[in-house]
Amino acid sequence: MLNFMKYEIKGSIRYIGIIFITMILLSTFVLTTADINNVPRTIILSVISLMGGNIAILIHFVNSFSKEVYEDRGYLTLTLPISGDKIVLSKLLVTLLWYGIYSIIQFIFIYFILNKYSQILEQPVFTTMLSYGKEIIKSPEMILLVILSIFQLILFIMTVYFSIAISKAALGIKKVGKLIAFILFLLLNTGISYLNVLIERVLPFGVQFDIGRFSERSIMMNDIAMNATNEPFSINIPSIALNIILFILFLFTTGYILERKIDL
Amino acid sequence: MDFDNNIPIYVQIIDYIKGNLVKEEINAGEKLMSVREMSEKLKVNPNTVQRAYQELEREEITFTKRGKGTFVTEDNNMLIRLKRELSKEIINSFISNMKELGFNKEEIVSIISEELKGRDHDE
Amino acid sequence: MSKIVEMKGLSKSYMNKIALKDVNLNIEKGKILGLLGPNGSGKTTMIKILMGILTQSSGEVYIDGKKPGTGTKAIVSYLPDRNFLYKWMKVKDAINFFNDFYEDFDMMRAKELLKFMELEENIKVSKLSKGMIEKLHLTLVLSRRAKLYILDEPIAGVDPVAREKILDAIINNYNEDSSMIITTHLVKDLERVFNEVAFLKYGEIVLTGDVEELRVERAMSVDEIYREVFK
Repeated sequence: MLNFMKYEIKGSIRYIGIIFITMILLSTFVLTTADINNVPRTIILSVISLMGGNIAILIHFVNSFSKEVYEDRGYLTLTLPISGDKIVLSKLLVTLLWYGIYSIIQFIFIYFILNKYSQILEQPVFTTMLSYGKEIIKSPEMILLVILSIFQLILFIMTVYFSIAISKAALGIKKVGKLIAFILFLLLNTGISYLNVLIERVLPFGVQFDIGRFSERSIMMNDIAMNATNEPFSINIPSIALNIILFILFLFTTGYILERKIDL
Repeated sequence: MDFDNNIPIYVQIIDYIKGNLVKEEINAGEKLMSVREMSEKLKVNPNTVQRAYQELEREEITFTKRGKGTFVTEDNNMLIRLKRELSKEIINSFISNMKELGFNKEEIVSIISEELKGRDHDE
Repeated sequence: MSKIVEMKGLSKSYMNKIALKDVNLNIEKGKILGLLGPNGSGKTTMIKILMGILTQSSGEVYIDGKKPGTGTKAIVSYLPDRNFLYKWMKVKDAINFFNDFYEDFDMMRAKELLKFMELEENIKVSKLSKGMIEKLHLTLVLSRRAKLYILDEPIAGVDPVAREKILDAIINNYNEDSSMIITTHLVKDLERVFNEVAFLKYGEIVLTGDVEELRVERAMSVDEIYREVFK
């Protein structure tokens, strides 16, 4: 499986490299030209460049999996002596790798931009966000947040893979297949969200994430959070378990489909 | 070598080797090419060459020395007989063709003598 | 196990058509089988089932005694009639790829074959001509010491010079412990390489046999038999 990951990385590094470099250049430009007069422009450009990178990676990993089932390269991948679930897992891990590196790059830029603005502007909001952010990062609950986000991402990617695989297996035709895959993906994600909400209601064993304890400033943030959700920030354990189960289900089902049900 | 795909290839290989023997392109006691080498040279399946070799051995034209390969017999009588055999086919076919053209025995003999004499002069 | 491939009552049907019908075919060690038939006769379907990338509707398939799956993929070397290499690869990437994934890959043999086929390691696969791609594909497939080789149309659309090289490589690769299935509709070029042939018509085997025996029985070349069977 490591071998397969090695070649996944080799195959995607060119495209991903271009995305990263473009995004870094763009953000550097935005950063260095940011000043008092162009706050809105800076914010918009930052958002575009950051989101652009995310979308580009998304497009890449969707296409990468699509190609395996719709194009000739499937004749190589699916005849390798490696089980379907390992293929899926490898592709997942490499995608996570790219998202992970990209997230770090994004955070670095956000930090620098907030930093710059908190220095040149007299408004407390940036300084607040910055120090609040710094405290969260240093807190132990940060790890949970990161893990949660990774879980979200993993399930997101797995639903994409599963939708693509099953529509190809059921239909075989490229254009219709991709459309059906997309619809299925939307349905699955809606379904999963619904399941999560259901579980939270039925089995509310959560871990409280008390934002309020950090500092005065963060009490303000807590108020915002509380106003939005009417509850203190919490993480529901059974829902994590549900997501893990769903992940395993998707992994082995998609793997099975790849091995036995795809007619290239 | 050009093969006719309508008749078994192994038969043609046997004829080819016999022909080489008679023409003394392979000599008595000499080692034949290995099955693999022969199959690569003739561009045929090695099993086919193997079959030809087996048949040649059955006819006692060749024999196998374990671990060393397939060798042409050293029995000169064998080779003389082979030469006769091959020439017999040619002669039979020649005589039949000539007869079809309408020549009789005496005419056939005199035509051959003349032809051979003529060739002697040219050489 | 002297039978490398066993197919018993193999059938495959789709919603609107029958691709394979009750196929019974065995291939022994050391044999090269020509699988002959026009497009759509079921050759590719049969191959996909042997490769384990398609499941049959009914019947049994065994590769060296095992059902097709991840295990058999490690002992079967397959040459598809597609450009299956990843587009970003160079020749040397493809070689290293096969070396990494297949234990039976012989790197020395691969280098020899590359030289024989006159292929440069640093060229991008996307820049190769059709003939060169086929030669590369064949190099990759034949550099594995597999139990079964499946070559799907190895010389179609390839120029005569490349064809010669490919044929030479196939004959040279022969060994008594492995078997080969070659599908083609260019029967004339390949019939001397086959031990046995099987004719597939509309998903059914209509004729099989030893090639030399067929020549004797019918006083025809396999090419001519093909024309008769499929006219």
